[in-house]
Amino acid sequence: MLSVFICYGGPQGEEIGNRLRNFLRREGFDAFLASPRSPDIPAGLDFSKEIERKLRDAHVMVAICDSGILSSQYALHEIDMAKQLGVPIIPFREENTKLPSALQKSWAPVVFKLSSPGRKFRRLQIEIYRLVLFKLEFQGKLLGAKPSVVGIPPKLLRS
Amino acid sequence: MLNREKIHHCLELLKENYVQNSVITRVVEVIDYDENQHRDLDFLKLGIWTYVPKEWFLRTDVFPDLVFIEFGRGIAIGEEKYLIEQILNTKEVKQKMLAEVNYQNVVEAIKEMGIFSDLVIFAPINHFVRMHVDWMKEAGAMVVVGNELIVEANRIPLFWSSKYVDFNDFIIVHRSFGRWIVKPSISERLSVQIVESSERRDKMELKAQTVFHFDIIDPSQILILKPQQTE
Repeated sequence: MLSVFICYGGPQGEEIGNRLRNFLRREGFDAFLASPRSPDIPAGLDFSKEIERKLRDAHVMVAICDSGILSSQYALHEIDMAKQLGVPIIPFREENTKLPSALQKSWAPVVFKLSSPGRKFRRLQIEIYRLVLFKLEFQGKLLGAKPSVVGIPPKLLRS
Repeated sequence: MLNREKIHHCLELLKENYVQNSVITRVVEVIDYDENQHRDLDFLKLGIWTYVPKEWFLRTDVFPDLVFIEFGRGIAIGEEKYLIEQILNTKEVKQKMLAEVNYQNVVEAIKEMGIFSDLVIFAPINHFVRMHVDWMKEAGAMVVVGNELIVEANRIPLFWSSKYVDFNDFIIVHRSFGRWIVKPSISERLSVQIVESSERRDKMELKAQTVFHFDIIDPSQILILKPQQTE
């Protein structure tokens, strides 16, 4: 099961994140919303440690980039931590919001309209698959006699 | 025209991120290749050999930095996975059941290894919260600090499992358990080349590899703790 860590800042981001979590769970992902009200953290468990564990154990982070993320110290800290741990990040960016500087050189974001973020969940799901496949395919392996012919989608790389 | 500066930058990123993420030098004795001593050993090549689009180095609106960073990390991950697989597949390694994953049980097991210096522990991520919170309560002080386990004023380097390097047991090793011989030397153990592909005109051929020989020379310096409980 693919593990997705969803990071957000602010109440609007939390609401989108919650919908995204539910969507991904319906699609068979182990999606986790990094919220103090997260239903994914059993009562009594140390919240910050559980967040860190979930992040360390995630295949990928989705960062919901609406206006709230820029002022959320928690979200920016989680993004920093993901970068340090080597967890790849896909920004899910609201069309009028600038990416946080920590995500400027990131995989190409999936852009959504504030009025209908759910319309881009399917697209985001595909990007998650592509990024995880990339990460799994391009791990160091014992080399054979020929180069791998697995393609790298150049679309991921455009600024 | 190919942007040579961009190519050089990307290759440097790959090397830099491989070195930053490679655990080998922190876990096992790494030795420079010596023709006189090591010429009869079998060496393996581990790395990434693939095609990348030539347009990345022709177009100014493409920034492949992150792909090369991930290539470097990916090689380090592959190396760590190989090491863990070799340890877990060695039959002579001592295994012990952990009735309960608590600090006392793990410390007792560590003490069986004798001296603390040059020990390293790999821990399953499932026990992350337990080791930080429950163990602190049990020991009366923080015993997991950053990526170190504290045992009687000794700081033992701690490496966690992840989705990309997955294991379920605690693995304790003394660095002398094996030898990892690299060609040509520790500082130059990753060679990276990129050339225009002769087979595919629109591609470059990237080969980033480390050439090594690894063997477990003293299995008694490895202890595997198998938790009975699951989270």
